[in-house]
Amino acid sequence: MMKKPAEPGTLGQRIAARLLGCALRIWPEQTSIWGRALAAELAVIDNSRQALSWAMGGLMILIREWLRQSLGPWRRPVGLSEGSPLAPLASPASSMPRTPRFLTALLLAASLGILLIPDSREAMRATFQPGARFWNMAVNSGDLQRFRQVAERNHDPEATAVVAMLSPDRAERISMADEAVRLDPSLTWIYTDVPTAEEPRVLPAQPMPPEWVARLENWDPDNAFVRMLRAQQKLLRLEDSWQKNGYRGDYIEEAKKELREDPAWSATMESAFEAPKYDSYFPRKFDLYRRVARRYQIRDPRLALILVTRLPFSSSHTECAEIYSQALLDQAEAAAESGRYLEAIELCRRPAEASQRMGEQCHTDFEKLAWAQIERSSLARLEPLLAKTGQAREAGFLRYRLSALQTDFYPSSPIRDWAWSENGWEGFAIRTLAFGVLLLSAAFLAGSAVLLVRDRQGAEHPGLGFALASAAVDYGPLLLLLDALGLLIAYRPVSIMYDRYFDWSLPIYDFRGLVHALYTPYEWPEGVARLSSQYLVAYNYWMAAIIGLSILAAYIVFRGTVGRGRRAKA
Amino acid sequence: MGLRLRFSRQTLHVLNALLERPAQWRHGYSLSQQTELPSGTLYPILMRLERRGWLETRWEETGDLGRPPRHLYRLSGPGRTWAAQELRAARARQIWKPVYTE
Repeated sequence: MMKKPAEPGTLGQRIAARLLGCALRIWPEQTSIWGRALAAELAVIDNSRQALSWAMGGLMILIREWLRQSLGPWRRPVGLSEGSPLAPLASPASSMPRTPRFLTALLLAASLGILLIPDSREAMRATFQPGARFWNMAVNSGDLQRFRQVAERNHDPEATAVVAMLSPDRAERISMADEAVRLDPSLTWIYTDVPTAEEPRVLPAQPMPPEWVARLENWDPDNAFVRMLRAQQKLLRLEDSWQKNGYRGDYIEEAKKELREDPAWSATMESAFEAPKYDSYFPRKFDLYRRVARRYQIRDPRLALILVTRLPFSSSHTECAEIYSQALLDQAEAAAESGRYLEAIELCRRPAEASQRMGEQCHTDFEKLAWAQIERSSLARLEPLLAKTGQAREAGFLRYRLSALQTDFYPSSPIRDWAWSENGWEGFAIRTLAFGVLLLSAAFLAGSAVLLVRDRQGAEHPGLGFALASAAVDYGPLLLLLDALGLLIAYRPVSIMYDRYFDWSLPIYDFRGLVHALYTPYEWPEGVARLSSQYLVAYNYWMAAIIGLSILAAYIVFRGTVGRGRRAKA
Repeated sequence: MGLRLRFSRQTLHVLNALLERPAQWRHGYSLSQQTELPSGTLYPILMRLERRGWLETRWEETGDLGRPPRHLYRLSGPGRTWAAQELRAARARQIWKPVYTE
């Protein structure tokens, strides 16, 4: 029975003794005698620093023994148990790998099969495509190649229109849009969905070419949206010059003043408010994309996501409506102050009725919110005027309408933030599994290369590197298969939602389900979103994997060479 | 052909230290001081030598030392022959020379 090491005097010695005491408790049984030998030496080391250094060395040996024990089975020939008397007779070359080659090939083939399924490919693509973050989802030119090819080959106006809406190149967008409209004038609406800024943004702030506005007016003259687009051009030009002047001055107030003083602009807005219909064409672009993708059997959810989340027509047409409504309400207030109540009521009714009509005909939450806000401010002015002029019944109706108006679709609150990380864990799982596919494939290839190189070098000593390489070759294919299966299962709900939207035969106006589903691969669990947006991006995944595996492979392959070189130099 | 040990310079230092007085049992700490090798390097070498049968080990006689018994090491018979050959070969190839003197 071994005695416990005596408790030495100094703090350093006590810490060293405690460290080795703890290490002894978890030391692998087969080599525990060496742990005890190390601990026993502490009793004769009277220097604190040396005692601590001695204990740290002991901990390093403990880690080494753990690794040796866990990797031990891979260092033995197949079917040979530990301590077998047959071990010395077995050739070292036969010791790896343990998995039969046909099984390894079968597992790899099954993994490849799963990874070739479109859902798996989409999941991998969503994770590793550069710049694949939500708000700066630039469309790569290559992504559109199939649409471009079918557009050119078949002179298909709808395919041409899809390229015009999504191309990263401004010149191509403009020329393709003109070509699509030339081929099929019923596609004139696409002018409102073709970003005219150099780089397509969520809200491009560049005016539309004047001829496009004219063509839209000729094509759809009764549409309030088209009429507002003309009024919007002036606002966009003001905004453009404000940006070019380095954002100096109070742009909003100056723009409001200039627009309100422009009779032509007011006349345009007046005609927009009187227009019988409002259609911002929003649902048409997904329908168009869907038709083209079906026709040519192209499946690309990422492009669909970019298309439905981008609002190329810009929010400023509703800003124009707001400015014009405010001008009318200010006039109403002036009229009421001078006792002209009927005129004031008439002035308040115009924005209230127009915003109600447009709010009922629009399709996006963004537009609904903008029109509801205009209606609310108009009704808030109108209601007391009606009460004052004895129209109590209508005033009561307006009070009810005011209380029912929804003006907070997307309030800035934790609930909204939560909504955007609703699928955070699913997104995290997809990305992690996709990264796992990459890592396991690389580990398998690196392991195979190491075994091949070591075999050719005729290495006689199966060291730790050999065991690690063997583990990668042995377990890599099975883990890869499980990982690929997991990726397929994790991405399946996204794919199902995309298919539902894609196969739905009726027009679709609400894309929230589609956006939430397709956005899943880009989501992060709440709390890590900020970290992820800065560091956990595909580029860093790639770099970490490449650098880590390169270092490991270089170490394993060249360790022997470096060692021989050093010895030769010595 | 059996498995061979990898001859690092550290291994050669340890072999040299053990060969100086081959019949004498040595402690780990004294070997560490003589070879200037830290415990994390020295012990894996000793463990490998012992696994190959070239190192004999035993525990110190338990007396009333007031401390736990220490582990003792010396080269086995075949180990001495092998170590002497390897050190000669290393010196001949000029890949190793002793860095310490006692």
